[in-house]
Amino acid sequence: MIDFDYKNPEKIVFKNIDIPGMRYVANYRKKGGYETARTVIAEWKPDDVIEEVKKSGLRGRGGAGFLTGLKWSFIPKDSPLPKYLICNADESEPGTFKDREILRFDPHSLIEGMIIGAYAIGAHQGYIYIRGEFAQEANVVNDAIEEAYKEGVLGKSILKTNWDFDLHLYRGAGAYICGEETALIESLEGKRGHPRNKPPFPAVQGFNQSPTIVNNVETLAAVPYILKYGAQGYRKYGTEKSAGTKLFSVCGLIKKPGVYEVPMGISFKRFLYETCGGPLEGREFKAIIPGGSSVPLITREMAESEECTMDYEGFQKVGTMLGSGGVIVYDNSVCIVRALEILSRFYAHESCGQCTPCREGTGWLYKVLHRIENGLGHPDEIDLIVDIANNIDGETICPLGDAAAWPVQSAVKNFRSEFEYHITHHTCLPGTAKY
Amino acid sequence: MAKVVIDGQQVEVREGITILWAARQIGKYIPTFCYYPWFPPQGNCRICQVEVKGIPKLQIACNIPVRDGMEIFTENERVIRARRAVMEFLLIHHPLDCPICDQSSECDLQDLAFRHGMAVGRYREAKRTFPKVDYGDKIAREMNRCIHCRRCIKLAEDYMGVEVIGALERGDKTEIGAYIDAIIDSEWSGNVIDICPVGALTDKKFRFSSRVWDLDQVNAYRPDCPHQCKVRLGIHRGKIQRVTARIYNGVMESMICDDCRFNHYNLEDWVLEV
Amino acid sequence: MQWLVSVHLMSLQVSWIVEDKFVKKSFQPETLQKIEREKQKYPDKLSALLPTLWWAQAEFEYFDTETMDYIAEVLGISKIRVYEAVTFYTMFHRKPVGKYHFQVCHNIACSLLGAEHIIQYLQKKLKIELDEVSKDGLFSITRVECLGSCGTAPVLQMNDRYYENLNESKIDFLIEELIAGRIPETL
Repeated sequence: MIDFDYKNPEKIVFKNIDIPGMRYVANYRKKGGYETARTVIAEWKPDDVIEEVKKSGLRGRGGAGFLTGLKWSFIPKDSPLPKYLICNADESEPGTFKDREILRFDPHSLIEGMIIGAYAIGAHQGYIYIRGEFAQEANVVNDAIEEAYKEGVLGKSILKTNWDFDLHLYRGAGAYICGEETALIESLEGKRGHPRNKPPFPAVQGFNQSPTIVNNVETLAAVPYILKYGAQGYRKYGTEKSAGTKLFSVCGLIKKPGVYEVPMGISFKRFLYETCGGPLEGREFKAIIPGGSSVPLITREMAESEECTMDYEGFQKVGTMLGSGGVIVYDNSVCIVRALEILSRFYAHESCGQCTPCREGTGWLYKVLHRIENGLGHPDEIDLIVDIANNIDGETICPLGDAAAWPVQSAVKNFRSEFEYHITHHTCLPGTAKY
Repeated sequence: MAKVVIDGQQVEVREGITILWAARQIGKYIPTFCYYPWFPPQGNCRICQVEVKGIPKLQIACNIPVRDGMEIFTENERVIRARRAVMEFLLIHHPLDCPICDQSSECDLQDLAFRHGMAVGRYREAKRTFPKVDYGDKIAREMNRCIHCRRCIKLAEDYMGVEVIGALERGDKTEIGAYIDAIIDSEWSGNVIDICPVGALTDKKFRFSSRVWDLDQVNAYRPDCPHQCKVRLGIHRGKIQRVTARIYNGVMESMICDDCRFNHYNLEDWVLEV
Repeated sequence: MQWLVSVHLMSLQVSWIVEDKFVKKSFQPETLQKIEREKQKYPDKLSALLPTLWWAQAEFEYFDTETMDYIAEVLGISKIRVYEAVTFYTMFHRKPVGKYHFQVCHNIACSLLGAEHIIQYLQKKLKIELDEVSKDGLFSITRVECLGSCGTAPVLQMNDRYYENLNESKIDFLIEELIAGRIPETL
């Protein structure tokens, strides 16, 4: 069993978040910040950096869980084109608010991670794409970048080595879809955030048709730790396939919502009850979405089962995914139909309108769910929404279509009776409220 | 050369061509909307999805290059189901106005609706409608009929060199529109009519004048035209009803100029290639 | 008005002739410098569009045809590119908003903790409908999707600032402060 103090969770890789004043470069350097980046650039070969990150087993923390080191190694070595490293700080997945903590309280570990990542893939230009709503966070990051330039951490011959790296902040303007890496690249090019077809993958043809790597904030911010303590040091936490620690952001109807860093592989049940304090007074859990709104929801029984551990494999075993680590908790007062209606409204609103199944399907799903919730559904419409969801699932350019379909499929599968009750009684199940 | 198997049929094709072209080489039919050989694939209509053995998701035939040893299924149950799904999505907002639509009988959507459409609609909500926008006296835009294939945007940008039309709004409110009151300002503007697979962009001068199936289609050219446009005349009862580009297998042979398309309805102006 | 518009559209070189009658939009000189610097950061000048739109919104408040024309001209890109972006990104306003623009999150976490009630309460208190500007031009309310602060739901964003863990008394306090011309750091 993984060793974890459920009662007093302490941050490990991201401990800086809890230390006040770490947004200033002087404080960050006092704690040994940027030393790792300097050592890496001065003493390591880029390939060795990629190898070390590969060995650490770090997987993309944005949702897909792809091995970061492997992604970096896809950059063509002999390409004459400039290479780019982009940080995806477009955190807009409902239920996810972990990156915001890093951006607000520990921007320098992100910058240091980007320096190391850029050195590994051979990029001299980097961009941080931050969502438009994070204006305050953008200011913090911007100040941090400016300070870093003044300190010689960014710019020409950074950290007294012969490596040049320029980093810029780019602010989005309200589009969930720009969290998808190719849509993010399009947006960074000043266009509408329309995802691109793959292949070609961004590692070959990304920003400005050049090789590009897009990594999540949490992924990049974990890189300095890995290089400092080595792959083995990072692997001290977590499991074989899900190495290291992960930030989970917990929200919804639970006693202690917030951002927690946990080593992967710990028990989800104990985490919910001991670390997050369990359900509100007099209530009990009903359903839980463990990885941001885009992953299938699971029932209380599934979440509390033995095999549901907090890692990529554990969540897969109970039919859901780790995703971005945004835990949304529904208790027994929640009407599942209403909750699903809210989510499908979100996906209908955020669909970019490019490809057919998502453009037409998400809007259709919302309209039908809206009717069912308001007591105007037909009995055959439960199968209809599942069928629409199945028709969207897997047929779109980017994963937004899947993300819109999975909550519907899982909600109907696990709580079909509630939908039926809505249709026959034209109202919510007794005891549940329309939030 | 790459050896691939398409629906059980072994075929040798040039390495790097797309699944779509490999299938077409052996006469296999894969429907397309947004794909046009003049442009790089856009992949937004999703109708051309096929199954490739070993890849869990369906793949779009217009974008995926063939590799040696690939096994492709273009008409198995899963593919047909996906096509029916895409057709249903495209038709939920499409008006049922084929009887008064000028594109009727040469409409890709109509053809595919016969092939893969459902007899009964499951969509019970209100259909989406767009306000009418005037595109000048040449082109009639009926946004309600649009299937968002974006071929017109590509044509205007890549071949006419005018950036005035684009995608506006998002989600299911996405509109293919021009900048405020702009019209496509190019002597080639009429070609968006021919590239539109449905009746969203039609010839304003031909509007409601006769049905396409009544027309005698004759290839012709106009000696005075500085571009030597190769056109096709649509003649009904001895009168020219419309002028279009020559379309073979759904693809224009070449663009034609607006002067040829909209200004010459006298048979004397033309030399017919009979 | 008609001739003014046509003069404007014909060419910007002639617009100075009627300058005294036709007040053409233009950025502050510092903003123009910022835009020039921004262009240098990217391989293609089109990338500077979003930052420019942000600065434009700060100066011109919202995007009408004239503003979009001007941005296209400043960046040397076609107007449809500006229009496409403005209609795609929800944070760009296409009509005037209040001086204090409340964007209340109504996504799942906020809804579970009472966002709908917060929206209704705000509407009742300010006596305005959604997407409507109050008569004094001070307030407007709109619903937005997830603001990415679900742990402190319900949340609203007032212009650039987040106010979290909302309840009725906090909203009362916030509106009082805003009417008095003070913008509270937090609630």
